[in-house]
Amino acid sequence: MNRSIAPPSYPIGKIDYPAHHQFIASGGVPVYLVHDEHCAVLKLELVFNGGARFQDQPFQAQSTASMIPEGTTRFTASQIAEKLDYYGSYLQKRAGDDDSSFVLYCLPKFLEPCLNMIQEVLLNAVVPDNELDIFKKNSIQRQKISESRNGYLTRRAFNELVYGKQSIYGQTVYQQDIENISRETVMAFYESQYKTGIKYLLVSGFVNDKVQQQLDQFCSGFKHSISKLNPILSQQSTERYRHIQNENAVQSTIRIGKLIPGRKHSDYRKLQVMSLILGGYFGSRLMSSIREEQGLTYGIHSAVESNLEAGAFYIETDMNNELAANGIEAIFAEIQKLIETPVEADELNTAKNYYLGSFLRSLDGPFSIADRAKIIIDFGFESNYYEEFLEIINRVSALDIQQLAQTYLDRKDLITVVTGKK
Amino acid sequence: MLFTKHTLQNGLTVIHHPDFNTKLCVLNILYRVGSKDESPDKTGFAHLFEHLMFGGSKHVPDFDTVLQTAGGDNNAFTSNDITNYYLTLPFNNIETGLWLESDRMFSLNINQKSLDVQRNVVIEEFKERYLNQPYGDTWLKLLPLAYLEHPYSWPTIGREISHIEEARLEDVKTFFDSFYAPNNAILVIAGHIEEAPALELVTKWFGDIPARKVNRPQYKTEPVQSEPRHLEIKAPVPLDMVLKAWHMPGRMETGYYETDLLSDMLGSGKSSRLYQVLVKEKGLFSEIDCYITGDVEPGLFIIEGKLSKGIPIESGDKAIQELLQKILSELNEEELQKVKNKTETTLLFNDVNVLNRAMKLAYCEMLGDINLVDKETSHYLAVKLDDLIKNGQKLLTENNCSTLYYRSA
Repeated sequence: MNRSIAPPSYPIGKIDYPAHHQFIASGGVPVYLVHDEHCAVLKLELVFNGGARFQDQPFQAQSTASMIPEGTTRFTASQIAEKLDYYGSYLQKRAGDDDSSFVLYCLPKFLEPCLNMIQEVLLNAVVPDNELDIFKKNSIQRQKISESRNGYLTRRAFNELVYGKQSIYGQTVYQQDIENISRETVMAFYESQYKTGIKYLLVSGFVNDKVQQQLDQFCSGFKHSISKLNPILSQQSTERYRHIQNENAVQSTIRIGKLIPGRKHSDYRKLQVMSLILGGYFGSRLMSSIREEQGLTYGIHSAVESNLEAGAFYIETDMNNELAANGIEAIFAEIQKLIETPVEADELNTAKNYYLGSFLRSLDGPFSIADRAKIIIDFGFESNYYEEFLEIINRVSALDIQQLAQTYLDRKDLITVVTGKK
Repeated sequence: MLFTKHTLQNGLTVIHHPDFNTKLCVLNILYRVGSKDESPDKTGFAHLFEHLMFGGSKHVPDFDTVLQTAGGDNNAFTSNDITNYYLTLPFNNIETGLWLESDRMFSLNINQKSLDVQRNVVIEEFKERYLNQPYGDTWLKLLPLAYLEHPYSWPTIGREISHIEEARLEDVKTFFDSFYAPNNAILVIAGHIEEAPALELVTKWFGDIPARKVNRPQYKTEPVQSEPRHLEIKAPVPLDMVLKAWHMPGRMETGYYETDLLSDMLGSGKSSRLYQVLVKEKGLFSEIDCYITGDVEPGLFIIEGKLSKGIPIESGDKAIQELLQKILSELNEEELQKVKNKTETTLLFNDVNVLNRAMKLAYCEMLGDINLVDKETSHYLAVKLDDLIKNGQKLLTENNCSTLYYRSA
């Protein structure tokens, strides 16, 4: 076999985003479906207007999501856990900034008893004092462990600086916030954001007619929750550098970045390509230069993230304390190159192909497709959002990347947070 | 699960698994080499070597760029038992993946520069994951306590940084020759491709790689532990921790499934015994976990708990021991059914994406029974309560246990 000749490789010509379907359940709750007949299991995400943006005090949204399944008028927390475990299911509770959700993973044959239990906790939660005490105590201990980690401290400071402390996206939890939670605050949030109804259901995997009927039946007990969204104002701080001392650290965590417009802005998808070229994959500039050539770190990456109303660009890495100062300069040198010199055609082509390939990977299996669908639902995009994707990515030019870098990566706008031992 | 299995003349095992719901093709190559195949004074080699596999081969100076240009992505991991490489590509570019993987199996370019850089990267990884995290060195300390003879006594990252610092080009080349042979590998090609073209392409790219002699060391048998072992660490961590490790059967030995289910009964989920009693009722621990290492050779059954503030480690340890005896006498059919249901869910969820299925096929083949991909669930469902209890009583004694106290300094 002559291995000196590479086999042909082809561009990704077309992306088939397998559309999700929708029906409105009897009580008015929208249900979105990603059905896959080959899948033996199902994932059910119940989305609520229970994100931190609706809360009156820090940690209220998170503690409510956690406490709802911890006891009802009929069942104790242990009985609820026992039942859900017995049916082999997993129930995750998540409270983000913009919304909150309960995610149930289960086998179709056990869907009904699981739904019954979820209905019970959503309608009849009582938040027992002793359960809340245990939850608070353990949350504080977990918080202490988080606060001993470089990565956590860095991200917390970074978010406060980039989004601003007045923005919900910039706020994080402190031990005192956990202390301040009372049964009344949890019950109040539960009453106003959960008992009033469900925002929508997103179900993926084995969703045949029978499953759909069961979901319709389940939803008939709930109203469709529509909450007014007060705009979130994010404002980056004028502070550009912060060092957080950690006496026990061998390495320093470094995060560099800034506030950017979120996913709704037309620059967002192009910024994803720019970030990819800089530090978004193994062949990226930062990985090649900082890890592979200079061996300064085990890993370095850049990414863009988007909440509903604002986003951030960041680069993150860990390196030895004494290397951190040089490392930061090496990172800025790579950023400067992106600003000064247009990307070569080959490199741009590799990045685009990689990007489209990773999009295909993100469609592997119904659960991943559902995660994609959630973006369309939450941001109110058209159903052809992902088909447009290919076109936009193919159009991005070297000049676009350079202009984006000039607009968004100017050193005087970038915030640097370092946690480590000086 | 649909699959077929073939062996090329050079000894390479080839497994094909079709799935036309995805537009991807997966190539998973498992080499039968892990950290257990290292010599005790040169640990961390299998994992260091995994890094070197990305340093270019004879006809491909840059593995990643070629793959990424074809829209692909890849990664790898090293365990005690295996080194596993996987890549995914849009289906029409799978041949690029075969070219890349075959070239590095055929003639990896191992040079001083690549070794120097990857050595640094691995040393940074060592620091980042094992030294610079609270409790990060737990396994570095626990394994040599639990294993006196068997090569599981060091973690895959290596026993100490100096072993990686001292790795020479010659050692690394010997390692490649000893293990990276087609007759020591299992290749799975899966996803959007029919069997005939899959086989044709694999034979085209891998068929001419010569078989090599594999030099596998004889693993030392771990002597049966006959008395309790203890070790204390003091470090600036937020909470005290106790970790207990019992020797358990290997992956294909009698008692493995019983032990795995027992670990779920004790520690998986909020309704598990340890959580209910030690975290919720008595408040001795803020979190507690029970799991097995799941290694091919006899592994470890672990209980790991972080103590609530003000509770001495000794009391927590004692409470665990007392509770274990009590639980073993009380376990019932309903609890067993519960963990069986949980296991069934977990196994089915793992099969949802094609990459996981490809890895599972390779792993089961490595274990010696590829049909486990389908049979495993029934093995778990067939476990009897009596056997599970007897097995647990035999296993969970202090004489079979290594206990680590991690004190907050």
